[in-house]
Amino acid sequence: MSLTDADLVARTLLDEDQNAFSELVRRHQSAVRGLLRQLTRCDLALADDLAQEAFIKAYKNIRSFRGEAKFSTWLYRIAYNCFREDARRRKELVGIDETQLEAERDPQTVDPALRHDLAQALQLLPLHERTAVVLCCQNGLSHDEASRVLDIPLGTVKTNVLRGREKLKKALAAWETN
Amino acid sequence: MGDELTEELDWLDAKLRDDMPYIDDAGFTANVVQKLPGSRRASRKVRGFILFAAALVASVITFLFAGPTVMSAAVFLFAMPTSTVLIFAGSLILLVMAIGGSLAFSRVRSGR
Repeated sequence: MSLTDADLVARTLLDEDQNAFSELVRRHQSAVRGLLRQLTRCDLALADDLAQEAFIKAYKNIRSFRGEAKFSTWLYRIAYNCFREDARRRKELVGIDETQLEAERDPQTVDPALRHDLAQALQLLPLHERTAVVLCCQNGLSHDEASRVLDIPLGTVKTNVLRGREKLKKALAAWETN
Repeated sequence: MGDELTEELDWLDAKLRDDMPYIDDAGFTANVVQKLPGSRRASRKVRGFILFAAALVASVITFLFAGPTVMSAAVFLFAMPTSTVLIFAGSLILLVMAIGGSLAFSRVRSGR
């Protein structure tokens, strides 16, 4: 029988069992790195550095995890905060330049592969919409969980997801009919 | 209209999830574990050892450089009947436990 996240957290807390924590890292590394890759616009090295920082912060602060939310939600929140801190350091926490957005929407630049198009369309979304869509639609978080991760009202999350989806739908309109 | 919208969103959801491939660990977990701060359990052991060694050294120094009062107290202690010594030691242990317990209790309360 495999241990639940809660069991592994308890082991990490009680026995300071680094093996238990490493199992948690193994379980969640893909989702956390995937989220950070989307947030950093596929800067793989930066995403992995931030993911590493997030897991180390999670280990140091594991006593503050009270089990009210899922461990993954708590972890995403730490990862998102790491990203924001880094972005603040780099002074890059601003929306996408609209002219850049228009230029990249040029249909001639569209790649024939759907995955490529989808990734490209995601990268074109403003940060707040991209983050909400990635958390809710890709990582499967509920709107409520996403609002906890992002520390914004539930209504704002819903709006961001809806707007992000609408933009994605428009960007991928050609694929939808196929 | 509603069904149409649901269908569209489902299509998008499916594509978005497909676009989220599993990222191979490739040594990531090992790197994280390597950078985790050292276990506090080890530092607790070290702290316990230091306390024990300090108490031992202090006892030896006290014994070697003790004046007549301390020496006579030691002689008196050794001359006491075993049962009295045991009661004395037991009372001391209870006293230390009570102090430790009350300190731990106040720490837990302040932590909430």
